[in-house]
This record gives sequence, structure tokens and C-alpha cells, in this order.
Amino acid sequence: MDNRIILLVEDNPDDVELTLRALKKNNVTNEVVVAHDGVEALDYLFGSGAYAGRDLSVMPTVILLDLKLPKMDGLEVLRRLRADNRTKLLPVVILTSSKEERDIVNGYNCGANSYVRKPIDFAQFTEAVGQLGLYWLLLNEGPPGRG
Amino acid sequence: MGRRILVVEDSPTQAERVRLLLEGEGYRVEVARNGREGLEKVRSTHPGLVISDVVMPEMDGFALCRAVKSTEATRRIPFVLLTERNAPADVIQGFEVGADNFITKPFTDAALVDRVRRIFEHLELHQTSGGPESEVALHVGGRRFVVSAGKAQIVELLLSTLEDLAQVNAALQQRERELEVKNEELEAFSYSVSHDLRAPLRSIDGFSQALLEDYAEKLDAQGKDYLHRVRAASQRMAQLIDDLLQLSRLSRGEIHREEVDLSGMARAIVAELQKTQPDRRVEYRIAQGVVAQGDARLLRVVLDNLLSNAWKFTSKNPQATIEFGVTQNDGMSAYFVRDDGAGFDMAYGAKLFGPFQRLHGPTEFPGTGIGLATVQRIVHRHGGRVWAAGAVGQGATFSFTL
Repeated sequence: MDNRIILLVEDNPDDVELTLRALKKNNVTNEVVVAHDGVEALDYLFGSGAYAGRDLSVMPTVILLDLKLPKMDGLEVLRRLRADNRTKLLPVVILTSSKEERDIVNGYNCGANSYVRKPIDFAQFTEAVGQLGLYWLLLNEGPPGRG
Repeated sequence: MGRRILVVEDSPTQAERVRLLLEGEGYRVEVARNGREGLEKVRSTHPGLVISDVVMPEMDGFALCRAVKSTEATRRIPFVLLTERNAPADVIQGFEVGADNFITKPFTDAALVDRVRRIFEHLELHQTSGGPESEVALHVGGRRFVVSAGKAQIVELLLSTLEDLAQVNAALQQRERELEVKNEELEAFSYSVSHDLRAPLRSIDGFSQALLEDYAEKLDAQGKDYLHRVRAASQRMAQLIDDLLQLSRLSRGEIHREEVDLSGMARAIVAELQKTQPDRRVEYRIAQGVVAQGDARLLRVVLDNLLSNAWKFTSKNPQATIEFGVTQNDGMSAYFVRDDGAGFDMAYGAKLFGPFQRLHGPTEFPGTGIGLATVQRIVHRHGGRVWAAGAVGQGATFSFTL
């Protein structure tokens, strides 16, 4: 599982730090690419902008996607991913603050594979991130032909 | 030449308001304080229009109108009655005595000015027409009225009524639009709270925990204790935010009324409660077959809160009793949840239903103080009432109607 990449789309630096810490606590040592807004996430996935020329045969095994993002929000990112053949099957986990019903419904409607609310309690947060890592990186058989 | 209007009105402030308003529009206005004085002035000055209140001492507006209309010399003077809104009987009676038009109270300045202007316009239009037309007898509210109003009068009244309706309707639509905007604002606010207020709490809790883990050797017991307090507070705040959001969500959305099996609901809830602490000894007395008309999802929240409270406030009893049932109160079904737990002082009873109001410290019984506020809001949304009875150490009973 070591060559499997996680794409973390998260604008809040504290949340980035805490998520990385939680992954480390769970002995998930995979490479984590961090995109700080929706546009950067798409740049990484489609090899544009700062990621122009990136080897697109390497795709993340799972995308952890926040909903409230600057420039382009998480749902829009998800819509663009699902509309493109190169990314339409990538597992996407929405990892966000709210459990507003409309966020959850919209998330699944746009093609999310999973929806997880970030717990405030860091112990619970660590537990949640650990389970996500275990499930998506180890247990889950991803779509064929991906990194 | 300014048109002359006689205003007959016993309230000096009302009379003054109308006088100033109409004078501001270029009319010449005289005021009489009751029907008798009004009649004298009509006979002596022959105004172009009479606007009269209905309820007045000595001679009321109907009697004045009848007197004006039954005298050949004055019967052509248009007569407008100021009536209370929603009083059709007034309108019919006004017609019977020959009134030409009505202005419903309360009226806006603009509406009064418009109405008066139109009456004068129509007066000029119909100056030539007129003459006696046949009478119409009709029964309204068990009374018989004979109306001799002409077509012009009736059309005029119809127009006025439509005008009134259009105004009321426009005001209602405006209110509805305002309400929609407020709801959207509230929605956006809760949405933002749900996302943005939680994020900093995660940082506070997460980095406190990181300090405890990574710098434990540099912290003495007091330092660690402080960090534990920081974490406890951030988690409590997170709970408060969630509860507040739930409360605000309850104020929105539709109520879907259906038949709800409250007995079944109560049994399911106490079964869940018992599972959280299987060792506790509680006797449940759940009445059979209690059904209510209401929103199932919301009623579940009500029973959840009331039964969880009963469970919580009996937690110090070695043996407790929790009861759910229904009584008849003035023909209304009052559903109740009763326990024999800690109870409360009735002196503070009114505080129970306010958001974040608590009668116990958090160490005594945990909670955020939002549960009963939630219950009250749901019950009110159903058009019902909720109340509490109890005494310290003698349990509590919470009752509600729907």
C-alpha cells in the first residue's frame, strides 16, 4: 500500500495538520498530496496549472474532499471529477464539518463514495481517519488500471 | 373653489387626523362631533361630501345617514361611512339607510385620499343620472334589509371593496416575501454556523491533545489538567452548537401530520435508554394504545427528550419509575411523562423551557439545557401547549397537548 497516494483537498491549515497527524498516528505512511482549494485539486488530477506535465498515470487511491473551499467548492470539484473519464471512478470521501442534510444529499448526488463528518474530539477524529485509511487503502478494491 | 367635506367623528384625534389630511389635499373641511351636530351642519351648509363614523353618541352614523337621505334637499349629498373592517352587517345596514360608500378602519392616509378623490370624480360623472330605482330586499345574518341604492352606488362600492382587497392582498404578499427572505437568511446563517463555527473547535481540541501527547514530559499535572479543561470546554461548545442547530432546524420545514403510535415510540425509546446502562433498575409504565395526530419525526424528538430527561433525573434513585400516558383535560388529550427522580422547584418552573436554562449544575446532571426548549418549540409548532409540575426530590411530570 506504500505507493498509494492520498489526495487531501483542504483549505484550513489546522485541519491539514490534524489530518496528517491523525494519519501518522494510525501508521498510515502513504504519500499525501495536499490541495488547498478546488482549483488546485483539479490541477493535480488533470495535470494543469502548477501540476502541468505531471505523470497522469499516477492517480490518488482515495480523495479526502472538504466541502467549503475557496474558489471552487467541494461539490463542484466532485462534479468535474465525475464528468471526466480519467477520474470518474476515483473513490471520493467527503470529509467535512457539517452534517447538514443538504450537504450529505448533495454529496451523494454528485457521486461521493462516502461522507464523514469530522468529529471535534481529536481522539474520535484520529479514529475516523484511521478507519478511512484502513478501508480505502487496504480493504477496498479500487477500480482497475489506477495507481 | 375648494370642495367642502363634513367630517362627523366623535373621537377628536381621529377627526383631526382626517381634517388635516384632507385639508392638505386642498379640500375645505368642517368637523361635527356627533350625528345631531352633523345633521344641523348638513342642513345649514350643504357640504359636497359627508364622511361619518358609525358609532357615536346621541345620533349614530346610520341614523344621520337616514336623516340626510330622507330629506329631498340633502339626499343628493354623497355619504361615506367609516366602518370597522370585517363587519358586513354594517355595510348592509349602511346601504339600507342609503350610504354611498364605505371606508374601512383602520385606513391608511393614501387610501382615504384616493377614495375621496374617486367619489368626487364619480359624482361629476353621474351628476346627470340617478333618480329613484327599485328597492331590493335581502336577508343577511337573519335580518332583513331593504336596499334602495342605485347601480352607480353599487358599482362604486364594488370597486371600493376590490380596492380594499387588493391592498390587503398586496400587504400579505409583501409579508410573505419578507418571511421568505428571513427564512433564507436564517438558513444561510445556520449553514455557516454548522461549517465555520466547528472548525476552530477542532483545532483547539486537536492541538491540545497534540500537546498532551507530544509534550507530556514537559507538562506538570496542573498543565495537563488545564489542557484537559480546554478539551472538555471545546467539546461542550461543539455539543451546544449541534443542539442550537437542531433547535433552529425545528423552526423551519413543514409539519406533516399523521397518526403516530406514541406508546410504541415510548417503548422503543426506553428500551434504548435501558441499553445504555443495563444495570439500572427502572420500572416503566407505558400506557397502551396512545395515538396522536402529529409529525412523527418531531414527536419522536419530543418523547426522546422527555424520556431521556426522566432517565437522567432518576439516575440517582436505586429504584426508579418512569411513566408515559395520557389524560383528558377539558376534552383535550394531554400526554405526559412522569418520573420519581430529582424533581425541581416550581418557583423556577418557568425557566425550564428557555434555551440553555438549567436548574442543575453540569456535574450534578449533565446537559446543555436545550432539550425542553426543543420540546416546547415542537409542541408550539403543533399548536399545542407544554407544562411541568414537580417538587424537589419528588419527581417531575411534563405534559403536552398537540
